[in-house]
Amino acid sequence: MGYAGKVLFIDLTSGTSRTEELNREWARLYFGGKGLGVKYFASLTGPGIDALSPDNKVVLMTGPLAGTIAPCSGRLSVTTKSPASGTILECGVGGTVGPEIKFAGYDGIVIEGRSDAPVYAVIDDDKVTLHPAGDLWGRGCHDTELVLKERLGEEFRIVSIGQAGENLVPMACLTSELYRQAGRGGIGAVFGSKHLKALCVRGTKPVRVPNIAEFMKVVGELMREDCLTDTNLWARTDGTPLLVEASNSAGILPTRNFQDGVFEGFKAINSESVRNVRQRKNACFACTLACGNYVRAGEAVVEGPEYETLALAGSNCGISDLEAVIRFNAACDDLGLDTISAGNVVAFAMELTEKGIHDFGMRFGEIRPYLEAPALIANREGIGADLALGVRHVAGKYGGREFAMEVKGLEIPGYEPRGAWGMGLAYATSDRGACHMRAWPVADEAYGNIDPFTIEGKAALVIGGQHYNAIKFSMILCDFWAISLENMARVASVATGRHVTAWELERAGERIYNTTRLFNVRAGFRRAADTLPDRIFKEALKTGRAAGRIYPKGEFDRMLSEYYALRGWDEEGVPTPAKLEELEIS
Amino acid sequence: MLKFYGDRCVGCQACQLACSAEKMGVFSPGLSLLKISARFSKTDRSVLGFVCDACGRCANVCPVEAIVMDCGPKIDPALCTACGLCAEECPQGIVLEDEEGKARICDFCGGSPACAGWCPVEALRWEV
Repeated sequence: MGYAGKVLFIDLTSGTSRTEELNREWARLYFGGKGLGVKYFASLTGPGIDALSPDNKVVLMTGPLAGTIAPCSGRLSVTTKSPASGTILECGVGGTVGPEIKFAGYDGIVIEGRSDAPVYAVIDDDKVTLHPAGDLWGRGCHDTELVLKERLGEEFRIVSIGQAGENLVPMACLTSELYRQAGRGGIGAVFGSKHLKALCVRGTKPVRVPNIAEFMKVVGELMREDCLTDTNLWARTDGTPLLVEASNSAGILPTRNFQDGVFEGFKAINSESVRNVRQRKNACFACTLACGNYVRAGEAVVEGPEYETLALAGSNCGISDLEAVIRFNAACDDLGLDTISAGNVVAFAMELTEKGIHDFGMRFGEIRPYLEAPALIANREGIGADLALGVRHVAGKYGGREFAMEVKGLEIPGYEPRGAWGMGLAYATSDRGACHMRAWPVADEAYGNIDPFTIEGKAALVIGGQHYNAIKFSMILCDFWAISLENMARVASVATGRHVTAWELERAGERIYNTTRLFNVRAGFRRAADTLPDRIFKEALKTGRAAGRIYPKGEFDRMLSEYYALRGWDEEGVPTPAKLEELEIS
Repeated sequence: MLKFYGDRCVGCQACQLACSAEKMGVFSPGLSLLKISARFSKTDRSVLGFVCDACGRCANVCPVEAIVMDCGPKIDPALCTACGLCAEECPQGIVLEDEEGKARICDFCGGSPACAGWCPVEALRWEV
């Protein structure tokens, strides 16, 4: 119960599909979403595969709550090997496509192989077909989704790639419902390498739980008393743009390629400015919080811009024009580009240009070249040929490695580590390169009451966050419901019909984190890769709360060792056999 | 009366899930007795809602008087002949058939509709 009981395998090489019974033992240990996705992926592939070869696979996974009325459960987890970082890559996307897969009768979908010619896949309950996508190839995500809805029916739920994915850009994402993304690490390029333009799903089967009356009672109570509360309703009143002001005040708003943590133009891109152009609020399936802001500025519309876009494509590029950020955002969504990585690489090109290292024809705050960049990147034209490959590549070719803001080849999100030392550890030890969604200690250290400029207690804080998010994204619940493990256990129990404890969920979170680590270790990653760019360790921030501060490398190293020790990993960051056995990881 | 306010609706479909849970004991937007449909275009986004407004056309068209208008339409399954006329007539397109082909019609849950009760943004309201 709680599960559909089936996993769909689509082999693009042979053009066939089959189903398998859900592995119930894995479902018990990993629950769903991220956990079950990485377990299936790691079991079906090897760490040495080329991310853009037919050997790579994509695992789309729902969870026991998908399709139910549990708030914030409308997400889908997507796992593959990243062409940007070479690590395992798990991404989440909201909207409605995740629950629709469950309604079609599947807990997950595994995509294998490579089609000779471009195709799109249609999953209509039990009927799975592949169709030529020649007429869609070369078109953006927006056209693709609208054409396919017209062709198949409004009720189909779609994820697609744009030109960036087709052109194997390692910062290409998946887009759904025009403005929602599985954003990071180049998952769109993996679709592109398989010649898979889109996945279209319609499901008409009911989702069942063991005792519906009990489920409605528990979920109703939690929704009223735990979800729709002041702790979470910032998502509805504002959404993530609220963080612009908070980050600026804390001195951690990435500004001009992380040269500063305070942006003088922040008011133009803060939540109030976004609210002023808001047309309506949007929610994912079954979400009561509705964080989405549908905005219009001039002729530009977008659902967004989210904080990460405002930070990386706003302040980090020196752009204090909200309409410009909205246009950049909408272009990236249509082209199928991750705005975090795209904003980063544009900012890096601006700094290289200003420092005279290489002339990319763009400087901080200049809108015209900034707005031209997304299409050039997605099509790998002109300066886009280099920028498309990310800041690590650009630094390797032209210089500036010390201020190439990436970890393991994945560009850094919107929280400056010099003003939040725990966040630096979270970036360094994330399972997919610099990521803000594995642990988010900034909530306590930059926006909260814990000293941001110390390593004391941070290793444990980061580990706790990594376990919590790992299990939360496995249930699948959205980041924005600050639900306790105890309450999560109550929801898990009524969804699965077995007594799930908070301890068991915490344990599963640790199991999941070790599973991803093991994949990355086998792919060759060790301690040397768990680090931050030199700028963080050597260059002081200029203004704000963290002004004059570097993040001392010695302190960072000490904290990393403490982190490994607490995790039961050796000094190189390799999980010990005893730890793996304890967590039932094979 | 059940009222839908499209400008407030965030498209989460909790109302449809509450309906199918209440009436059928499962989660299924397709089995719910109302419809919420998010529409996308490159320049706009909207949510359409189709809910019973107690117009009474189902009751009027029923050849065997299986439907009476009470607080909302109320159907007597023992009388229903599964002719399908009410479903054809419903301007909202929200009359469904059960496994025997008999009509399933929104009855406002007898005056305390589950859909409105679960709406997190008061886009669906029971107004008396």
